Amino acid sequence: MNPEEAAAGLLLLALGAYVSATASRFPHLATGYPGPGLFPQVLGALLAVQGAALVVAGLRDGGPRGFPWTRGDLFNGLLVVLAVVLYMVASPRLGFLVTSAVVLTGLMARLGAGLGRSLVLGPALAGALYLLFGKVLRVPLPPGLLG
Amino acid sequence: MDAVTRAAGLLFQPDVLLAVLLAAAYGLFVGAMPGLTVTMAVALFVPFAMFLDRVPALAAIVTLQAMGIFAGDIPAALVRMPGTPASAAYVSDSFALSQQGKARLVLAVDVLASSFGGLLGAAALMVGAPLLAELALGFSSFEYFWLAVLGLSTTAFIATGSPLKGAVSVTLGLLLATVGIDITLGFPRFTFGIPELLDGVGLIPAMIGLFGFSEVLRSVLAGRMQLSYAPLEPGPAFVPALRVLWRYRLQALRGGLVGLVTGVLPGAGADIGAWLAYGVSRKFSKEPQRYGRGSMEAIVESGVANNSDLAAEWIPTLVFGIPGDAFTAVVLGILMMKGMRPGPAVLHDYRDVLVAIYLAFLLANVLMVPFGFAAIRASSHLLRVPRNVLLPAITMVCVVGSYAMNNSLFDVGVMLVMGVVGLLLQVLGFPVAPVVLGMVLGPLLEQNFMISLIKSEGAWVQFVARPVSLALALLTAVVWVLPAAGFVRSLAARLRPTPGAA
Repeated sequence: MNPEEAAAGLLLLALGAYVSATASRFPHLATGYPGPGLFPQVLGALLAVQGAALVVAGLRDGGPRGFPWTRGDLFNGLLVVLAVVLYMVASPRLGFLVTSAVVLTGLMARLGAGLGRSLVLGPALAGALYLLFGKVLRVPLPPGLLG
Repeated sequence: MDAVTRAAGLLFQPDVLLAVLLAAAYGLFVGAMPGLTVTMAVALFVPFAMFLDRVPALAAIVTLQAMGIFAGDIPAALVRMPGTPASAAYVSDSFALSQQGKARLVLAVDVLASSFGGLLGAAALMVGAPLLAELALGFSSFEYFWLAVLGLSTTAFIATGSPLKGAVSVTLGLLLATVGIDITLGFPRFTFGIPELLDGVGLIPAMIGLFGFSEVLRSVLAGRMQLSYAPLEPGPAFVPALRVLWRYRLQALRGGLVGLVTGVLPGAGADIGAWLAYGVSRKFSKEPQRYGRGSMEAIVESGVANNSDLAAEWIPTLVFGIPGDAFTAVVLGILMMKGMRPGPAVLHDYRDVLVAIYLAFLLANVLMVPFGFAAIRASSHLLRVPRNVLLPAITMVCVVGSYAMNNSLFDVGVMLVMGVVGLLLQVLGFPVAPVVLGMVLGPLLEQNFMISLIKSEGAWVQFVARPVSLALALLTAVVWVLPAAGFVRSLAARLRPTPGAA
């Protein structure tokens, strides 16, 4: 049995059923032809069938593979995700330069680049990205504190 | 001839050539980094493409694609990690040979095979695009519907791995495409009251998430910040590599052909081309036992195939608006952004731009030789770039790249979510590229299906009443039957008692 595969199948089955049920309430075309609901309904049903097939395959297939990550690496992965969330929350107020310098320095230090190196390279890279995207490509990056 | 002169005038401008040179360096760098794919390179290139004019933007994309697919061979040979999925087919052979002290020779063969394959693909694009455009002029909604179905079936079933998982990925992509205002009634579907979702899930942020951010997460989770690599042997490699290529000239041509066919087929990309060529090569080889243990023959054949595929991918993208793989899905988006609506008319309306693209393919694959050899020389430095600096930097580029399209933090959120989804899909063994193809082809599929349905007034036979639509339907059926046949065969093999295991 492969529990991850079976669980993924179950999740897809539920998603497919939800999509199909929601789409069945979409309006129809006046001419009697199916309208906006047709495609999602078909796709939802398809996904449900595929999910069921995955559950069967997961129950039949050989041993669980498990997730091969160590706890420390998993924590680092979570930190990368949180760093993006932090950017989304903080950049409108603090601005691109400050937020991205903090994010870059923090991630580099955490991944083992060394504190001194991170403190130099983090802000330097943030400045380079600001010049490239903000000045050369004229993306209106949030100015924030330094604006 | 007039068009060629005009196109050359468009291409051979200082700013265009500068864009090409920078794109070459960018493509080589990204391709040579394990975990960073060429698809990610082009998705992150979108803000630059918005900034540049048509010709420099497209010429840069052509160049970064060719260089990146070659550069994927570098870590394959030196670290045993393919730089891009297109190099995965022959990674064992490349690494085995560099363990035997032939790393420089393998990489030199890779450069020449890539360049040869790329030139072959460019020739096919020049000849094939006008021919198919002629055919496409007579296409109606029925043919476009079947083309989309064919592309989606190919990407689901011919992709490496399990057909069921490929099909799930396609369905998820198609479902993502239904989010937003629907095309028949303008009814908002699955928007959950979020105004940003009325326009649908942004393709570029989704792609940056699926191909960029998910790879960052994967690399961080794998926890390997230092790579150990095989050293290059001293001595010249150009002439010996040329000799290898000449010795396997037949294999090179055959690999080129396999690459062209997979390229033109909507839904199959360079990685699939390389795997197919590898399989064909082993089947016809006099030394099949060496495959996987350092076969130069295999490297030549699949190395040509994954580059001849590239230009061929552009044919269905330009002529039908149906991308061959995830890379050309981004190209399609950039073409639209630049006001070039793909379809048979594009060959007529934008003749000069297209000829400039043809010339860019030729230029990129000629430049491949000096740039490739320079990259081999620099390879040990390339692979020494500290990943604990690189990965945070790419994280920020993913953030800014997805923000830059609409200057919206919502798009950064889309990138983040799709990055995590992409990671989970890959960990569970689902391919990611079919999700993107589903997202791109979904609206086209639905639109042409609804038009066809209304046109035929519910008479289903109309869907296969025209010769081309019938042919496409039959081709789709073949793609569906192949994995089913494989399944039956494996079932039969399991039921049959294995000899010797009584």
